[in-house]
Amino acid sequence: MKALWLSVFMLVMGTTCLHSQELDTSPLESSGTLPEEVVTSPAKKYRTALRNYRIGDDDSQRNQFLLESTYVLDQLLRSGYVLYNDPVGAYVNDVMETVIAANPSIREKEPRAYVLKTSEVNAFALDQGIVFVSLGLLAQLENEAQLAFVLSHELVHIIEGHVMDSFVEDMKIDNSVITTKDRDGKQFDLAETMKNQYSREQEMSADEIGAEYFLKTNYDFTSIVRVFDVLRYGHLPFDEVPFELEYLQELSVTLPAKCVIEEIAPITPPEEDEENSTHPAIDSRIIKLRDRLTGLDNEGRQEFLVSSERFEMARQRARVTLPRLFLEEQQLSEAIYTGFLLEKTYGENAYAKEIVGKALYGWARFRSNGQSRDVNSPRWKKVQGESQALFHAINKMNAEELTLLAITYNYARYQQEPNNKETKAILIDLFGDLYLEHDIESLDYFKMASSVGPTESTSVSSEEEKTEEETESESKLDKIQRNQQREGYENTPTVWDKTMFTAVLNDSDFRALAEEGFDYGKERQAEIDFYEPETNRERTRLRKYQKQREKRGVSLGIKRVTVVNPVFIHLDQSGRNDYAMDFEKSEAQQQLMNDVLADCAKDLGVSMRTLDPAKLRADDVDELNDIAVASSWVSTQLDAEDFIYQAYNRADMEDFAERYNSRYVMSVIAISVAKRGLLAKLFSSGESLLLMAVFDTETGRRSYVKSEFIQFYLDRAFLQSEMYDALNQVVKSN
Amino acid sequence: MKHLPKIIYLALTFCITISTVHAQQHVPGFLGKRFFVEAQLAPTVYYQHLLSSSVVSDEPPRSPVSIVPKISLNYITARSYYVALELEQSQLTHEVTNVNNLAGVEQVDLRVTLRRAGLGFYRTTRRRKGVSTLAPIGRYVGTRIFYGQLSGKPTTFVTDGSVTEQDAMDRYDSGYENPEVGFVGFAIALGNRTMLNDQIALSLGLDFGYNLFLSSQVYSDFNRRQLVSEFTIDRYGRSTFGIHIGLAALLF
Repeated sequence: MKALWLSVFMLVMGTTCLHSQELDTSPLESSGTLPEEVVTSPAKKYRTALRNYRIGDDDSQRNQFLLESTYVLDQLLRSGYVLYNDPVGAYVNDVMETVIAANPSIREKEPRAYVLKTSEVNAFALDQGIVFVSLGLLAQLENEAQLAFVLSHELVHIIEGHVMDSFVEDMKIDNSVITTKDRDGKQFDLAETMKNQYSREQEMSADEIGAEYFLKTNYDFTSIVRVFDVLRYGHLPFDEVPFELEYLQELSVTLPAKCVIEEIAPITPPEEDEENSTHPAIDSRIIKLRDRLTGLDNEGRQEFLVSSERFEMARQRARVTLPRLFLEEQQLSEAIYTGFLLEKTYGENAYAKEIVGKALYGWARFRSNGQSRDVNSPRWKKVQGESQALFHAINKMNAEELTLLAITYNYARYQQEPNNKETKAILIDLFGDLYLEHDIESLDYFKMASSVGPTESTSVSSEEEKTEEETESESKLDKIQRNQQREGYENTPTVWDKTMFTAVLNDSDFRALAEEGFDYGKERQAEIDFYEPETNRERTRLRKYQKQREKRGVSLGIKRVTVVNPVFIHLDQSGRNDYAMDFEKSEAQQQLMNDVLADCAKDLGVSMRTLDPAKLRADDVDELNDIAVASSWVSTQLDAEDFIYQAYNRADMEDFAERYNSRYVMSVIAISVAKRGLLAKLFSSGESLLLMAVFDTETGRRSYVKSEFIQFYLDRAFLQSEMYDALNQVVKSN
Repeated sequence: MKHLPKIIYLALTFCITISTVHAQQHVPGFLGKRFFVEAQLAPTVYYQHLLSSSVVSDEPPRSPVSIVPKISLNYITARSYYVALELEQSQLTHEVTNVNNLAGVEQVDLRVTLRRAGLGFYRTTRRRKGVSTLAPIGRYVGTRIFYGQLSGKPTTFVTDGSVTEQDAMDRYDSGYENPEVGFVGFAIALGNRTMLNDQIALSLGLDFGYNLFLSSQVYSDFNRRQLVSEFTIDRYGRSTFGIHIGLAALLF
């Protein structure tokens, strides 16, 4: 009996262990209680900082630094890009604690580390005692010792007060140096050069002292020189794996021959222009560090002092989060390649496929709507390494081909998970684009291919028989053709699109989805036609509508709305064309704007919830996570200027809508310039830019209730006027 | 023209009715309010406001400036448009020195009172493209039409000592008809209102008006009493220029 229980126990444990080894693809989010410094108002933090630094009113430069850095840091801490009480951050702090334990003098600055949700490979520190480490960096590090070295370097910046010194020095340089022209008459920015020189000196000092901090720990130092290479090649993905175009080929589809790259560009070190950089050249940093390490004994030192498992966990979570971040940052090709890497590194998984499907969807939509420039992936020629094959393939495909590819890839996902509403929305959107942008009005356009899959090469055998001499005499095009035949791609792009759906053309689900998508396209076409009238009657109707819209605004008939991250930026006009942000006034005005908005909502009977990072309390961690999700969604929707990006991150936003009991999200951004003087105040003189947009998270549609310049400063009265007007447009119905 | 106040009343009622019908579609004014009252004091310059008579020609007022009190009831029809029912009154004093027909009287000070009732149409504006601010705050521009009544009344008699002032007044009353004349006009107004709190606004503005007098025959057919003289009002129009300062209160 005992043996039976033991075996059951072992089985349970075994299952648990197996489960724990599965790739954790849940999004990295903050949890627990928010730190005090996040929920304290910046004004209070500024006053505390003034006391701590013992800065008098006469020291205007340091005063200004504290003011600006406190407010900028505060905005970053509340932005949703910083993680709190997350497992990765906890691990980074434990590693930092190892460094601090070996260098107790550091402790008096109370340093702490936070993880930044960005794909950029970076770490930086602020004088307030905070080290930020990006997920992009964590995804690329090789071991814990390297992380400890990065943290040691950043801790030096904190201990030495580099950021404040640099700020003060920059101001001094700005005040004393004037821009001159060199002999060729070109502008020579001496101030910038001097600032960079100062910054490089600080970096060298951080390298030197940081190395000393690090060497006091028991970390292995053999791999720390490679940290500089991690930074140098930070623009490359976290691994170099040859990209297989087959990865994108679902439903037996073969990519057009033009997608095959002839040769991958070799990876060369990025050129460094030390004079114009804030950091010293990496080679010189490596040499200095090597010099310091020469002759030291590495025996007994270890690569992992905290935990190799936790390092692996942190790196894995960072790598898994990366493609999500790439999607948010509109780096779509990078998202696809990272998804591919995830599958190569951690095995096949639905999460990676979801990312790739969404990225292809994004590419197709942006390309079809003439907004390729808004995708932040570089042109394939600027990419080096194995990922270039992917960048090349994407760049070579036209909008129609990308749309078709995105359909096949996402339909394959849909077949795996037919209840996924988001995938369904993606497919409907893509079919809609076929109708709207590519004049494909039904599935009749497509035909069954005589054979499915890559065309068999007919000349491979003869190719193999070619002599080396003959091969050398081949032209470039011959080589490309031979390469493509060897890879099994058919070189007939003109019919590529028409046979795309052979495998599913008779599939009833596919046909139903296509039908729905084409109908959606027709619906959108009718809306677009309204704005592009052809007959006089249509023109009159449009004019009437525009006139009414100008006079009355829109009528949305929305009773519940969630306002996400309202922003008010107050600028003071200090010179003719010289504006300076007043942080304290901005904070006060933002508070006022929120109050006015709430009052107007109450008056008009709108049920409104405001998610304002400035009002977070310690237990509002879920709100902070929601602000991050919704802000990112809104920002991407705004990127898609000319089209409705309805399926983007739809699943997350559906959850969001359910939590806040409203499918409508409102974004409020106000930038207001106040002119100086009593009369100006009396007449509210100034200029303002106000953007208030309402988004439907279900359909991706948006309506700008305010999007205009206003010839006044947005003081209380004008805020009341504008907010009331805006909310009235939101609530009233035709 | 005596029906003008009625016409103004009907027009105002019509505007209110129409805008109420469409109230659901329109945006009301500031913070959803539709009515506001405004009281203003307007130092106004009267240009070419001359008094003429058979014995006096082109006599200007002692001072061309009058402090004009003005009150208005305003109704916001939609967002930035509002109509106003306005009442105002001004007074000017003319020194009539050539009064030979009144023996012993060297000078008569004649106080001329102008009362105007008008209907104004205004909108709050914004120079940049986009919808305007909600009335009544911000810059406003508008025009108004009005009907007015001018009346003159002597206030002081300066005598040479041969008659008492009371006698002079009695003789004036028996011999003269006080001038009384109607006029119509229009004005263009522009200015700015700043909210002092959620309900009270401070207004500052300029007003350019033009009064056109309807008749110069201000004297009635004199009764059997001896006609000594008559004061008439110049038939030409008179321009006004005023600076308006006041307070507006948002009602409901």
